[in-house]
Amino acid sequence: MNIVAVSACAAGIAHTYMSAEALKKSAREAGDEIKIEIQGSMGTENRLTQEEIDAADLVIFAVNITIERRDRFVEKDPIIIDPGEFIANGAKALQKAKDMAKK
Amino acid sequence: MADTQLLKISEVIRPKTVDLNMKNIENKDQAIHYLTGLLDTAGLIIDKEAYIDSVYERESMGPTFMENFIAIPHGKCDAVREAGIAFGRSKNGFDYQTVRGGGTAKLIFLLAIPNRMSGDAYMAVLARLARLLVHEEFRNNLYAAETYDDVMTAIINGEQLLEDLSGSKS
Repeated sequence: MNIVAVSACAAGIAHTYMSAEALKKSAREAGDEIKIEIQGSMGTENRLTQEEIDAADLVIFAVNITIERRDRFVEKDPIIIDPGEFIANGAKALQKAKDMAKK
Repeated sequence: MADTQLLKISEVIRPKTVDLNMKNIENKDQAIHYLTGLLDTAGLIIDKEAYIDSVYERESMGPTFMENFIAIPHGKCDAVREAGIAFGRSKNGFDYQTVRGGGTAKLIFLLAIPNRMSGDAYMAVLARLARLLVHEEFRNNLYAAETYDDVMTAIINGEQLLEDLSGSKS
């Protein structure tokens, strides 16, 4: 599966990067392709292009705050999951996102 | 982020700021005070009370408990002489509550960053540590470490792993 994601957490930079890393690791282990844009206090890292977003099978927002440039995803139906869920158990949270997308 | 990666975790964890067998630590306050003492003994702190104030100021802004028995409190202020990270391990764990959630902490990293250092460099080292701690293999290496050198080996290997992963990202 080709996944794009955005990570942004109100709790701060450590949670933001930790949830992104957990999501990346879980996706790799599940055999998925993934690119994650990190929106943190250092600005945006690894910014997703419109082409990457358009080509994605699944869009995950590991966020609990309003993201920047939300308009890029207007054609998509992002699955929103709290970053804390990825930190606690990345594989479980990823599966939850996939299950939610099927509904 | 390239110019902010100069500060490596392995360069700021010193032998005097690591305790792999913290004893008589039952809560967050005790842990923060104890680890601040280690940073102070290593000569990194100018004013202990002022530094602890900065840690609690950050604590008031959001949780520093990271699940999986991990806590990363941190403070950036003028009371820090040189950047340092104190690492404490507690076999049985201790209670670590934050403004939003908490739990048992067994691995705690206390970051001390001088005010003169750029915010980005500070955030970069915090981000790297957070990313490292996602990896179970890294956490297991920290639990298995018997000496400071074991901790260093785990961190150096971990930082290399992160660089390898970044290099191969899709």
